[in-house]
Amino acid sequence: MKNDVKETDLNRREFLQKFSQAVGYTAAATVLAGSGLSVAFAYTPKSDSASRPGLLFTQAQMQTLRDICDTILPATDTKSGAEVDCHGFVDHQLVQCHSEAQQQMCVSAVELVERNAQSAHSKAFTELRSEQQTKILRDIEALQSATGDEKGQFKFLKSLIVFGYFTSEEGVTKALSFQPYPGGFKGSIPVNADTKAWGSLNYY
Amino acid sequence: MNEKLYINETREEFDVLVVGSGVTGGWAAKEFTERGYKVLMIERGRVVEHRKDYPTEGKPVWTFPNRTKVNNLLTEQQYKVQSTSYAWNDTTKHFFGNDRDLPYSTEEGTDFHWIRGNQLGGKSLTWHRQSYRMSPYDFEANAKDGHGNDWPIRYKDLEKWYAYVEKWVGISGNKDNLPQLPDSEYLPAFEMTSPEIAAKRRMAEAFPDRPMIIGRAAHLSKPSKLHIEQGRMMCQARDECQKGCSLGAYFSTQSSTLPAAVKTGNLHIAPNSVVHSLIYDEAKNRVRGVKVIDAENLSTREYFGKVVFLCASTLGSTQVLLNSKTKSKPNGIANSSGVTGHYLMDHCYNARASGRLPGWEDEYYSGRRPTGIYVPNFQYTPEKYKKHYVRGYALGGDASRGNFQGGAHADGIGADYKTSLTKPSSWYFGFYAQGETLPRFDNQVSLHPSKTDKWGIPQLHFNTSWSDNEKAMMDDCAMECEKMLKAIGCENVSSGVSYNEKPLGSAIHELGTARMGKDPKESVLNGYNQSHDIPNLFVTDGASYCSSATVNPSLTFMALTVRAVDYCAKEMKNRRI
Repeated sequence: MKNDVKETDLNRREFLQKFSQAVGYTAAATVLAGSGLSVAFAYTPKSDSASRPGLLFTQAQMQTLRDICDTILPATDTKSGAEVDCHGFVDHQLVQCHSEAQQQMCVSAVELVERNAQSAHSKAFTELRSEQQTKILRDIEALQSATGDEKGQFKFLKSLIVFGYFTSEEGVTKALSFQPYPGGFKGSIPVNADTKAWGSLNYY
Repeated sequence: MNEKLYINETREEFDVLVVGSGVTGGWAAKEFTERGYKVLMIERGRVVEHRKDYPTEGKPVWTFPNRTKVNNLLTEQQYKVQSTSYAWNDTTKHFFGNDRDLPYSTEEGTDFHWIRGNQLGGKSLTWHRQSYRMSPYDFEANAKDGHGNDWPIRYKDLEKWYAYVEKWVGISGNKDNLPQLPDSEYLPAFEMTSPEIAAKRRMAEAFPDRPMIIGRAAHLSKPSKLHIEQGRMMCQARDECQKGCSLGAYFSTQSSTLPAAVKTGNLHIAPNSVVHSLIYDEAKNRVRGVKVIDAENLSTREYFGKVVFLCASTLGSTQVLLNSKTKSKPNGIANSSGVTGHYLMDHCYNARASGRLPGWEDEYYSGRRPTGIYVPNFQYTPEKYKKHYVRGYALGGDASRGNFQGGAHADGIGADYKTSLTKPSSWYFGFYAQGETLPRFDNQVSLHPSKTDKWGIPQLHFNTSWSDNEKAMMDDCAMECEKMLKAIGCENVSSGVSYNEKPLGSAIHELGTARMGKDPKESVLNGYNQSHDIPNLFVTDGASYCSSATVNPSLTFMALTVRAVDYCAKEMKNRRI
């Protein structure tokens, strides 16, 4: 495994050197600039998406959504869903790239979470302790507090949150293993307990 | 690139006008210019320069405003058809046509997906790069079972030309010794994953007639001196292909044929030049050039040449042919047969199956391989046909491990769920069909009687449908794929067909609307892609096909093009053209 890593690393360095020689250092720098660095025109995650209404969600819903993101994807050795602005991403992505029906599914899902929090604890979802929040969401998936349709709506929202996380810079480069220049294809490499799935450049 | 490469107005009479700059246009330009002929390459779209004009290459997913998805309204209003292509997204859409500017119509109750790449380099920038020779059986199929007209050529006629283009292009692959899929001149094959190697072995036991091989792709797995001289480099398995590859690791006009043609000093390019029609000298029965509408300011100009090569894509070339007419030849000057526009084919990619493959939890792969596994057509002679339909299908596919995209739909909340999403999940094995489509007179493209595009050119009107043969083939294929996946060891196998959702055009392998043939009464072109009616007119793209076979067509129309150039050059030398 160690040898593999070394060899790949050597190949990559050798490759970059050859490539720069072939196309000139300026051209190479331009092409390679995209490989791992943030770019100025990026959709920038905001630190305070829940402090105002979203494009689709009300401000209160944005706060609920923020906590849903953190409950599904809490901070571990990598940032949480809310820390990478999954709620801001979902709000933005729904309006940009999804149908009104799908937007409505997600609004309904957020409303369901809020309703279940109120009926179980007479409190807003955002006011619950994290284990209470977890139970609210697990109960929806277990069909304890949701119909099949409602669970479907929640799962669609959840899939967008997951997509948002694992296509964020944190998700691609930290939670997953990012390889902008794989240096060729190897059909078999060993897997150990620490092996992460590949974070690809392309997701659709 | 020299400044005089791109031209607009000129009165020069060129030796050859090449209409189009994609896979075949690039080859025609290279071959003629290297023989010393002065060539004008006419491209309807904008200039795209290698490396300089690949704006999205290497940019990670999080830097795109919608993480590579495209805004709804933009998709709906400008890319509704293009967005049906697997390769279309926010990172590639600048290499696809804009549906709003490129209208076409379909007969009521029918549909057609016309995916376009109107820029210098055409679809060579975005193609899928799978490269297979047609087999001796493919060239004989029409004659043997009576569907379509007989190809005027046989495999032997094309064999050395395949080898010629393959050495230049660079095809990764393995010597497989299969009669139904002749070997190419290869660069080293991409590796199979361990589950694929096991699947190949299990398939060989359960279905000895269905060998599984590694897909052959126009990628430099190990560039030769010839490729390095072209300025190309080894494939890094980045999966950046359809954004344009500055390494030139896959074959495109920009990476390969264009630099060679430019180097001769014999090439000029007229970009933004939409060919309206051929200019025809009725007295001499020769084409003299082309009438062009400027793509941007809609002004008209003419280009003149001793020979015209139409390499404008199957439908692009056919549109030009149909729109080139005189009073005495109202159906087209090169259409005495009346078959121009008929026999439109695609490949039928409308069956798929997949399943989970237990095992190999301790293995993964590294890099994004630009090819998959391939099962060549195993119903390649009439004796091997199924009883209820003719011809056959090939299968593409691969084994890969799942990731968060699958996990996103699983139940789970919290840290353990999140951690599970960061790990590679089970292996999955999938197949998809690449079915042969029969050449049928009824599948037709024509000029719309009244609708025109913004350049004043009559729009294409499509009347096409899958026949019962393709549908029966897909139904059968889905069932067979399930059987094969089970034999491989898959669990939870599922399959489906999609011929009701995905019409002709969906595979982006349009073929056959100016077919070759021995008999001028039933074909447009002879065995050298030369018009039966007009000796100095050639069509060398997919329009010339007599049957679709099952293999991806690009490699074959490269070979057809270089063979046609060789023939044309000899005819010019001998003053027969």
